[in-house]
Amino acid sequence: MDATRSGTRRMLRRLVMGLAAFCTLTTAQDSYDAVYNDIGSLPCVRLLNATGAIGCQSLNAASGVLYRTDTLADIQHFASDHDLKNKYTVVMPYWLLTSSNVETLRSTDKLSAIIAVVNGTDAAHTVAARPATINSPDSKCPNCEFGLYANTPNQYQWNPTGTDLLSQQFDFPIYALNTMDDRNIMSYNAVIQAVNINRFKGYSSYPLKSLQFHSFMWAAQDTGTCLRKGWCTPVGGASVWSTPSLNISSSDNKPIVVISAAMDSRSLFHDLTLGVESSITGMVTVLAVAEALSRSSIPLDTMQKHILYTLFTAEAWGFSGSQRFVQDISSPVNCIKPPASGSGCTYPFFSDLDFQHINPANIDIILEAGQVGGITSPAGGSPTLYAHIDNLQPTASAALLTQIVQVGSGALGNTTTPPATNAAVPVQAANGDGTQRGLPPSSAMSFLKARATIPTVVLTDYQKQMSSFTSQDLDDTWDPVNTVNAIQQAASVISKTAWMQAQGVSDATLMTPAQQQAIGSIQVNVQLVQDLLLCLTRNYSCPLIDGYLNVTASPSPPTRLPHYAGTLYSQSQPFSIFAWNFLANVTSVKGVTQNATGVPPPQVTGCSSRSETVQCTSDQFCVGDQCIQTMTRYHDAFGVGLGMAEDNSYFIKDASKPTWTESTWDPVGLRLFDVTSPGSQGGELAAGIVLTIVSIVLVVFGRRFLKKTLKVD
Amino acid sequence: MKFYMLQIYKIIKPVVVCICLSILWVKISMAGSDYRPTQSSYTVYNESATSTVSQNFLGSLANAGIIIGQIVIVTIIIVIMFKRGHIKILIGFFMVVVAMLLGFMGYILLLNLIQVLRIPLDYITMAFALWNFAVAGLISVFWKGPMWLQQVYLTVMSSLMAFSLTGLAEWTTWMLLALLVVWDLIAVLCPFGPLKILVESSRNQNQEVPALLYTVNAVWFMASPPNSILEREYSRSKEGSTVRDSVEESGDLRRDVFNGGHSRSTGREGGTSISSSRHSGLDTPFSTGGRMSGNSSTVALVPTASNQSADHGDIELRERTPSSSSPRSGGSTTSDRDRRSASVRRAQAIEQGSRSRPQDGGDNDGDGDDEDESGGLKLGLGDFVFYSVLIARAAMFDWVTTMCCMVAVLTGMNATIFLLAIYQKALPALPISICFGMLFYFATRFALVPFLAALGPSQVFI
Amino acid sequence: MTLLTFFGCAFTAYGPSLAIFFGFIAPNPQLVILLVSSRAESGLNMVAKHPKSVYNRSGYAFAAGMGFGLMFGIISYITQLVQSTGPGILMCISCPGISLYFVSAITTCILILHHSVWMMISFTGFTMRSYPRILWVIVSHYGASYLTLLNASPTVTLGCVYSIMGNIVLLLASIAIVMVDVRNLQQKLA
Repeated sequence: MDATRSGTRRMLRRLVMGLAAFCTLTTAQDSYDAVYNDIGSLPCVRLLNATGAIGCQSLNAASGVLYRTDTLADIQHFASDHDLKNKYTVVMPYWLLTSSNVETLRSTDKLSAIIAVVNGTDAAHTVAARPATINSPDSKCPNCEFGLYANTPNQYQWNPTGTDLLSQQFDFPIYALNTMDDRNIMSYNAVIQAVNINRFKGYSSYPLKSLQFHSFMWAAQDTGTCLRKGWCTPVGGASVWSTPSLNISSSDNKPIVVISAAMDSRSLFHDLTLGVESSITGMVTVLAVAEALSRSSIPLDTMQKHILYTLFTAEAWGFSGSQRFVQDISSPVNCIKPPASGSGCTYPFFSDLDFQHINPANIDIILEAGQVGGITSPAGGSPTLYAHIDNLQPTASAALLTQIVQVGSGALGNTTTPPATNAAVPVQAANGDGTQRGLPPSSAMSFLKARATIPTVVLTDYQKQMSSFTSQDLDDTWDPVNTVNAIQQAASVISKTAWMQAQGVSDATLMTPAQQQAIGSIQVNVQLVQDLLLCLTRNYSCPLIDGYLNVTASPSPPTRLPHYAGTLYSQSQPFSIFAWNFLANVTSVKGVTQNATGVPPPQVTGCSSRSETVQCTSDQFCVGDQCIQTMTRYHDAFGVGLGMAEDNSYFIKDASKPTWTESTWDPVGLRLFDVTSPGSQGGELAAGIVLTIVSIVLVVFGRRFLKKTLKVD
Repeated sequence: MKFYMLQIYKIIKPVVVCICLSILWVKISMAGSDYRPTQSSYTVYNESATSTVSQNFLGSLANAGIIIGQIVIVTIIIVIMFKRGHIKILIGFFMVVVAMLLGFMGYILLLNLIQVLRIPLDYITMAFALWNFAVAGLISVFWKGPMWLQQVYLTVMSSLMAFSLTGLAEWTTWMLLALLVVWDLIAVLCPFGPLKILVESSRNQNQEVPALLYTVNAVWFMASPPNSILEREYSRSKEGSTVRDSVEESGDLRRDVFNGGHSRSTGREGGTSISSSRHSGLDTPFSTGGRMSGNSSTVALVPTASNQSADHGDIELRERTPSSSSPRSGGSTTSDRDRRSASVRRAQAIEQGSRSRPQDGGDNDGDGDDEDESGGLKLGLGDFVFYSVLIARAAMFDWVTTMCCMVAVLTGMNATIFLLAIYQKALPALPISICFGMLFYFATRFALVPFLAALGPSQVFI
Repeated sequence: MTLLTFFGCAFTAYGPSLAIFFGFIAPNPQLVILLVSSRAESGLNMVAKHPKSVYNRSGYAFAAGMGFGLMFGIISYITQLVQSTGPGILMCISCPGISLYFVSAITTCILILHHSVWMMISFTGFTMRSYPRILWVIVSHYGASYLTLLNASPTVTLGCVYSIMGNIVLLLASIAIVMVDVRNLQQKLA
């Protein structure tokens, strides 16, 4: 009964305590959230090629006390400060992220991670103003090892101030902070507030704020290893090609005028990659050209030559898009496994085989728009366009160059709608100063590697070296006047030259009066250029794109999307999809089959808004709610050094060609919390051990005492 | 009685170790790995978050019913086979199942560890290590080996089995445990229960089959009694035997086979229960530890359901074998009541698959409290497995439930042992512990954990 | 680094109680059983070494209390202890220099010991029908719990110090009562 008594007593106590507890209950709180603040992150990830890896990763969750450095002096102070006993997460402005600074920090053994603050241009969220001069983190001649001059000695270095940060491998996390949307603004504020608190406490008065990164990358060593183990995917996407000639065929012996640009670029933080100067200006140029040419009074598909627009992706990764395109059109497709239904081929995989209509032997000239934004650092001045030609085959492109300069000089009268109010942007030959530099890194090189004598001109806004915004995370703005003017001029020059070439005219002075009249209809739409710049950088949900893709209907309409190519087949390709729709629209023949009276039948509309009732025929596509016929297609882009096997796995076909892959990563995470000093943690451990030892000693004495005095055991 | 106190210690230790190992495996696998055990294809009902309470109840009842059905059938088959004397077949089968358990569940666990701890390990090393691990386990369990090694392997096997059973959905697990309680009670206590029949037949056959050397017990019990006890019993024993004999015998005997397999490889179907009893006893000297004399242990193996056929590729690793394979070993504590009759062992048969038997406490002899000679308490391996399953399921929720259920299960085990001392016959080991465990789990989960969550950050103590 | 905190807090919270457990209770199996399941006193009396000793009850009370205390300690502290293995901590609101986990560890340690002492007092109280003792248990338990409120109080500076000191004082008072009882028992024997 004593047992029961003690039992009842216990019940009674419990009851009483329960009542007491009720009186003292506080609101329930998730204990995890009380300690940790999970915030959004913009990581730098690991990519691999045939020889090694680049990018950042961390094997264990790295965590460090936040430490702020704003200048080089701060970094040096951090390195030499011996009072800092912990591991630190250094928060620095983006432009301090140079190889030497990173190396300085890493060699202190106090570094656990780096946060690079990539300031937006809004004044509310800036750690410090952007510096006047910045450097490109790319190599001194980007992708030149896969370019046309890879085997020539003394290749011209197009990016001599490049720091080559992008090709380094870091074994600690580097994340970015940016203010491009609400979620990122919250992270930005949280981290900046925390690091300011730490700075205020002098980094010595604990508890301090600390940040932990989860950034585990599964792939290691190089592409061959990680493909074999299944831990990486090729970098790639969907290139787009389009031609107004619906009936183009490889045996029609009609020459082809190629107008091309790159759609993607790269930078350290793939979520921030925009590449306004690096690639967007070129893409906008080609889209404007296509739109301008679509209003030609002489229909494009009746001309002497075909016009082919090509927008390649994955160009920043060894010209993968253009090289694969050239490779695919140059060799016949041996379809081993035909598709279950529809067109294309299951193995080797092609979603359609219409690219076979393009005969590379028919390619007559290539006109490419490279960096044409006139965005320089330091900013200032008005832009000039330069036309580059290959220097290995100097005579091949000479005539074309002359024509370009001729067209650009304004000899053909006013070429913009509305008319340009500023002085026209001058167009000059890049070798006008006597130095033959050859072509800058460009997609055209892929065509020339197959056949070196194709007349080719690449238009850029630089003569001697690429913009220092190349491959920069800060390449996200443009000059509203200079950039628009430069793009207009480039589009105008290219469109008119292409039009003349398609007519078989290679000298403007030799045009017939009818042609001179007709060329006046080729007008570049300035409003379109401005819209495109905005839509492709800041607001993907703009009316222009919404008209094709109905993006505003989604729950959170996208605004700023990165121009990183992504991984093959595993990401949506918003810019490829838009480019396809746009080009399909401007090159299409709407509602074809003219009946006997020559009156075109009304266009079939409603194929997407009322898709249950209105269907397009099998040879038509539904673009912008209309059924159209078009020869606009996608083309897979990934490194030509990689091949796809029948079981859909990838392998290295040729290690000397581009073999870029991206590692599989565990979900990345970033969390903010307090920490105590290592000293106090050691103190807690010591206190615990001392307490336990003391109690053991007391217990031993207690037993002896009890034995003696109470005579029990 | 005092003897029991010491024996309780010896029982608690391996049970606690097995439970801790199971908690460890569960916590590791919950830390985000891909290789968690999954349900077998025998379940007819898949729980989903949107089902109503009654749907969950009936569906999990169906699932658990299927598993129990398999167990019952296998138990009966084992009883029949035992009665007919096809011991070798059973033993051979046990060996295969143990090998599969150690090999494949060990493989899945190792994959879990590698993924969560991010250990870089190549396949060759892993295959080599796993092969050695499995073979050493087979040898130490079925043949000769150091006692401690056998104990370690049995514990690890129990925890592996429990880990595999955590792949069951939640409702199904609780239903299964509840049905097991009922089955255990029926099978051991009712006169027509298969396990009772097993015990009797082993007792009857006792004399005739000295060669049945399989002890199914957790060996350590056998080995553990200190020499003093051994001698004491020895001296009491009317039959003489040398300690050495005992040792050898126990060495040969032990084997606890249990396990059911879930080996994927066998793809099997149904569990088999095997019991073997050992009788050593009568004409042979007691085995060490006294308990032995004639303890029969039965082992029930039940390869359950796993059914993953062997032709599944590696990818199927994820599907683990299901539940139920629990080997249980029969362990049982028995003490010989009647040495003279030599057959007194109380065999505890383990049922197939899941259950284990209860331990019987042997107490024996009626001579008095300190004459237990049979050697200590024996606890079937199946008991270990199901205690661990209950606690592993509690561990999937929160640490507080884990601790509460652990104490509850140990308390239940103590209570059972007391009853054993009082009633002196074979008792089912599961019911009290599982009932306590389930009660505490639900009470803690729905009442205590939210309470503590509210108190925690506000640093108030009650 | 935070494993240091984990072990430090674990030792602080459970060290003394576990030392007592292993020192006094573990060698004696009966007490272990009583610790885990407290209803077996009559059964245990049968098997005690000195079945008729009056000290047995105190021993049982102590073991039962220790069992209760350890369960209390585990349940109320284990969540925080597990959380302390992570890199982040919570600071004690009233003593911003110390982490919450450590303060809770100390409080847990004191309260576990206090529970076993309370159990001993209650046993004596119920056996001898001494209401002051029972009242003391209830009041001091309330007091100890309310003192822990000071841990989290944002207005009382160094509240955690007061709370711990207060709890220690209560613990010593309870121990004093127990020693008085044991002395009485001893005198009865003698």
